[in-house]
Amino acid sequence: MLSQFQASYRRMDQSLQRLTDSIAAYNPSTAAADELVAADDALNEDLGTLIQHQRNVLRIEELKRIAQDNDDRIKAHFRAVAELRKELAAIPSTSTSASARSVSIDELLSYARFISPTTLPPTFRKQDVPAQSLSRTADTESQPHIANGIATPPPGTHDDSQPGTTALVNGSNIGTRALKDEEKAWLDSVASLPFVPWPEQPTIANGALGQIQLMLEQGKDPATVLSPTERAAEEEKRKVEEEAERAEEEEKRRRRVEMFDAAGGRKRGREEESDVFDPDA
Amino acid sequence: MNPNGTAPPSRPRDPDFYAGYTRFEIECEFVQSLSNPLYIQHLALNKYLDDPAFIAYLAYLDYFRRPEYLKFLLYPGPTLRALELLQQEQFRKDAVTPALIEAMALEGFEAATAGTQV
Repeated sequence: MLSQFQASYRRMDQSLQRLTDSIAAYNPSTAAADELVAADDALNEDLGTLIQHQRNVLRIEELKRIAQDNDDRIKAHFRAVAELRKELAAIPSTSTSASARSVSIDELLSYARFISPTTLPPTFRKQDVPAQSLSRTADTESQPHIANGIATPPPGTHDDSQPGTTALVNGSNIGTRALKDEEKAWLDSVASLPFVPWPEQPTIANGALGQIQLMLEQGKDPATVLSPTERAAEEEKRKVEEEAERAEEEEKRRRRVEMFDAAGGRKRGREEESDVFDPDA
Repeated sequence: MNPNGTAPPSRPRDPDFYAGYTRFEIECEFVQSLSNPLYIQHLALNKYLDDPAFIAYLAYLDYFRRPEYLKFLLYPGPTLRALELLQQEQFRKDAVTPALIEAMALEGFEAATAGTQV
């Protein structure tokens, strides 16, 4: 670039010199003037190129700056993302077993409704529970040390509770043992609870096992009760047997009719024809 | 039905059906009746808890802990607590004493009423 400029300057210079020489020699040559104009144009062109060149340099600088800025910004973003990811991983998450046991809300609510009657009566208030039944544990623990039958029952035991409490316990075996005072006491404490979160003895006795017990006591063998599939199989068998019987009867009737036809030559339509010999036939 | 009233000897017994109830119904009822401490005492007094086969059966009944079977229990808390206690030999030995049974009953009552205000 610089050499190009220098060449233009030199050219300009030379042409100017030539012109001034020619003017000094009283021989102005128009060619020299033209040459000068041309040199001037060339110089202008070069200046224009220079301006362009400078502008380009500035633009390049600016673009370099912008690129640097963008690079820095990207680096900052990447760093921020990495930090966030680290933070995210550092959050204490619930163990995977929780997700395996996740339950839908509907299931949960329906199950809550299912067990609510057996969990606590809605009218229950804890202050209604007599404190003596809760403190009874202290008394009963000391009772085994007292001689059997001699100790007076702890205060609050009801004498009329005995027939009721024997019925409470599963009667088949416990009822045969005589209740001692201490047992009366603890039975009473358990019975005096306003609510228990388990099935009571009558409930158990009316259940499946209770029914099986009843059947055994009545002498029926529970194994003879057929399951639905077995019942269906039995019905099928019975139907088949009945059909076989009916087919046999039809056969017999047909044979009888044939015999009559062969013997008397007359067709008897009535099927209740007796086999007694009829001399008029 | 069979006319003679006795079980036909040729038919093998269906393991999942007995006396008109399915095996699951019977097992579900039994495991829940275990939640009643008085029933446990009845079993202990009749020496059922000394039978290793019975104890193995109780261990088998632990499947009611799983969610797909738990949802059939009406008394889930006391039932599972009873199952857990019955696996301990000391508990099985002590189950005959009235004091332990009463303590268990009160524990169950307290656990059920724990959320209520006094």
